[in-house]
Amino acid sequence: MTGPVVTASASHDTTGAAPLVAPPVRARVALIGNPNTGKSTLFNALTGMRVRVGNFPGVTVERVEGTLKGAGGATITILDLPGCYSLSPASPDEEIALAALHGTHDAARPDAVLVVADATQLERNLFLVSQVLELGLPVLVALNQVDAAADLGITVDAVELIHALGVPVIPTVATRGEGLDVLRKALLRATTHEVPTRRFALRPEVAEALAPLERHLVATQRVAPAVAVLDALRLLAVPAPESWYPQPRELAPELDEARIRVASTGANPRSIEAELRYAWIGTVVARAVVRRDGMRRTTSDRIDAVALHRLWGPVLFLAIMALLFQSIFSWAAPMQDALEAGVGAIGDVVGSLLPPGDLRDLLVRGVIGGVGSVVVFLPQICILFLAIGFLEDSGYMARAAFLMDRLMRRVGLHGRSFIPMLSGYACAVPAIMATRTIEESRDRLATMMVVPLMSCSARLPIYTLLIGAFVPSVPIVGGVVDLQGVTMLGMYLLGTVTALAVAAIFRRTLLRGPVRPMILELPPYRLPHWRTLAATVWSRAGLFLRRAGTVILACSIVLWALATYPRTAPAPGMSEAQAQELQLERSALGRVGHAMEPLVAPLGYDWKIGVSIAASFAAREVFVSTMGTIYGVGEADETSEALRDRLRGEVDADTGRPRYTTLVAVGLMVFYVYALMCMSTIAVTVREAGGGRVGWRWAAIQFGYMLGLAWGMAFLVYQGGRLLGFGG
Amino acid sequence: MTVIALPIAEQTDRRPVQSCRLGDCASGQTATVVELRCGESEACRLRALGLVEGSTVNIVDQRHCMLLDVRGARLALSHAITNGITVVPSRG
Repeated sequence: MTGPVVTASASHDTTGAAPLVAPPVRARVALIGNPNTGKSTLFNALTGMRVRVGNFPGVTVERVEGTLKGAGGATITILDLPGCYSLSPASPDEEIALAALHGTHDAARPDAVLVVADATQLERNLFLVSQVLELGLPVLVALNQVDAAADLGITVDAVELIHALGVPVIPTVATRGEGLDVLRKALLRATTHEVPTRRFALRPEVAEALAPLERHLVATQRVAPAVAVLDALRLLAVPAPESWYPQPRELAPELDEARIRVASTGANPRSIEAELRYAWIGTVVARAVVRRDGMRRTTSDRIDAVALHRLWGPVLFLAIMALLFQSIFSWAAPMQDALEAGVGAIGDVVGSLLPPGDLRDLLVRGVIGGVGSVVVFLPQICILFLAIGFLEDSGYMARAAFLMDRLMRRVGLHGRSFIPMLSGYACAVPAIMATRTIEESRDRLATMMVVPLMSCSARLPIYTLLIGAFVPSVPIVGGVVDLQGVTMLGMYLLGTVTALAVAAIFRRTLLRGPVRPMILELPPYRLPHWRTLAATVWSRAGLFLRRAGTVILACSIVLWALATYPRTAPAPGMSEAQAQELQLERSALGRVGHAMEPLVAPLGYDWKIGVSIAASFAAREVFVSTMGTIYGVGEADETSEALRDRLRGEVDADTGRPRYTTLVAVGLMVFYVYALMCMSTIAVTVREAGGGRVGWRWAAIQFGYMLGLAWGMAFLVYQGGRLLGFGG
Repeated sequence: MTVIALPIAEQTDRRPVQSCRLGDCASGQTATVVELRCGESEACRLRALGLVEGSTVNIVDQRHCMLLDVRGARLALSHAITNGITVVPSRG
C-alpha cells in the first residue's frame, strides 16, 4: 500500500548541465489535523478563495482542494482532508483521510503532509502527528493557536518540538495570519524536506510475536518494509482492516494469530499501539511543553456549567433554536422580497424587449420564472449556513448534539442528527448538506432520508391556499387558537413525528446497526473567525446555485414545453382564461393529468389536481401557480381570493355536488406533507448520499417511500373520512 | 505535565482490588484507566483520544452523562461507555 515516495519537486537535476533556473515546483500537500484545531481557517488563509469542492469517489465525504502560489510559478495544491483524531480509522472520515494519504482513493499520493496541531491540546494532537510521521512522506507541523495556549498558561517550545519530532514545526495563529509567511515558505520547499525515519523499540518478545504479520504485510499486502512494523501495530488496534489491502481474506487470519501471539507476551494487542505512542508523546510533552499549574477550571467549563445544565441547558438551547428560526424566516424575508422583485423586473425587461411569442414565453415564464423561484431561497440558505457555521465554529454545536443525544437515540439517531432535521423546516437542500456533521454514515443516511419530511418553506403556500379555502376560521380552546392555525401546526407536527418514526424504521431495516454510544469531544468555546464563516457561506451558496439551479433550469424548460405544446387554437369568443385552460387541458401536461386520473381518483382528485401534482414534481410550490393557470385566475398566489372562490365553487359535473370538500383539501395537504416534490432535494440527495449509482439508489428510495407514504396517507384520510361520514 | 507510567508489560496485574467502573466515580475525582471494555471501534476511538490504559482522567462533571478531562481535552461519554471502563480512583 505504501508506494515509493514521489517527489514532485524538479529541483534535483543531476544530468550535468543543470539549468540556471530550476523549473517551478509543483507539488500536492495533504492538510490533516484533529477536528477544531483551526484547520479550515488555516486552509482558507493559505489558499484564499481558490478552492475546488468535490467528492471523494464513492463516499459521502467532500473533497476540498486549494492552491498556494509561490514565486516563479511554483504551485502547491493543498488537499484539505477531513478532521481526524487518528489514522486508526474509527469513522468513515478517518478512513478516507488515511486512504488519501496512501493514494488509494485517488491516483496520486500526496508529495508531503502538513499536520495542524492545536497548541492548547498538544498531547492529544501529537497522536495523529506521530502516525503521520511514519507514512514515509515529508512532514510539516503547523503548531496552531499558540495565542490561545498562552492564554491558558501553556507554553510550547517549538525548537524542542523540532528536535523531538525531527520535522519543521511552525508556530501559527491562523485567525490573525501570524506565522503564515514562514509556513508558506516551508510549504513551497516541503517536498525537499527529508522523510522522517524513526521506529519504536518493542520488547523483544513483542517484536518476535509481530514478525510473522510484518512479513505477511510486505510479501502479500504490498506494504513497504519501512512501515511494516507500524502498520502491523496499527492493524492490531483497528476494528477491521481497511478495504484497500490486496488480499483481505488472507489478512484477517494473520491478524487474529498475531493478536493471540502478542497477548501471550502479556501485552494487550488492541492497546499496544496507543500505549507506545502516548508513552513517546509523554516524553515529547515533558521536553517541549510548560504548563502553569492549577488551571483546572477553564472559561469553557464555566460556560458549560450553564450550557449543559439540566434545566438551563435545554432552555438556552431552545432560545438559540428560536433565534435560528426567527433569522431564517424573518430576516431573510426582506432579502427574499428584494430578490423576487429583482427576478420580476428582469422578467419584465426581457418581456418588453421581445415580441410576443413562444421565445418570450419560454424566457419569461420558463427560464426566469422557474429559476427565479429557486433563487429566492438563496437568502435563507446563506443565513442558515452562517448560523450553522457560527454554532459549529464557536463550539456550541457539540453541546447541542450532547443535549439532544438522549432524545434522538430513542429513534436510532445520533444527537448530531437534530440540527439538520431542524434546518429542514426552512429548506431540505441545506439541511441535507448539513448532515455532513454526522460522523457515522448510517446515521447520516438515515437523517438524510427523513429530512424532507420536515415541512419546508415551499409547502407553506400550499397549506396557506388550501386552509384559507376550506378550513373555517373558528376559534377553539376558548378563543386562544384558531382552527386554521391548528390545522397548519398539525401539518408541521405530522411531518416531524413521521420523520422520527421513519428514521426508526430505517435504522431497523436498510440502515440497521447499533446506535454508537456517545463519544463526543467538547471543544473549547471560541469566537468564530469571520473569514472562515464567509468562505463556508460562499461555497455553500455557490454549490446551491450551481447544482440545484441547473436542475431547476432544465425542469422549468421541460415543464414549460409540456404545458405549451401541442398548441391549441382558442375557439372564437373565448376569454383569455378559458383559452389558457383549454390549452393546458390539450397540452402534453394536460394529457399526463388525464392519464393520471385513475391514480388520483381514489384520493378524491380530478385531472386538474392531477396536472398540478404532475407539474409540481420539480418544485412543490408550482402546484399553486398551476392551479391558478387551470382555473384561469391569472397570476395566482396562495392568498388569492379569486382562486379560493373558484376552488370552493367548483362543481362535479356528474353528481352536481361540490368538487372540493374540506376532506379533499386535508387529504391534499397530507399528500404534500409527505410527497418529495423537489428536484433540488433529489439532486442534493444523489450527491450527498455518495453520488453516482449509490447516490441515485438512495434518492430513488427516498422519493419512492415518500410518494408511497403520500398516496397511502392521502387515501386513508379521504376514504377513511368518507367512511366516517365526513362527506366527499 | 505528568509523564504517564505505562503498564505495557504486565496485563495480568491490571485489576487491582480497589478498581471500579468509571461510571461510578464522582465529579472532581481523578482516576487511572485500567481496562476498556466496549465495542472495538469505540475502544479504538477512545485510545486515539488519549483515554488509553494507564492514563489519568479527571471527572469534570457527572450528571446525565460523564464529562472528562483527558489530556487537557473535554470528552463527553455516555454511561454505556463509562460503565465498561475500569479505573482505579486516586483521590476523591
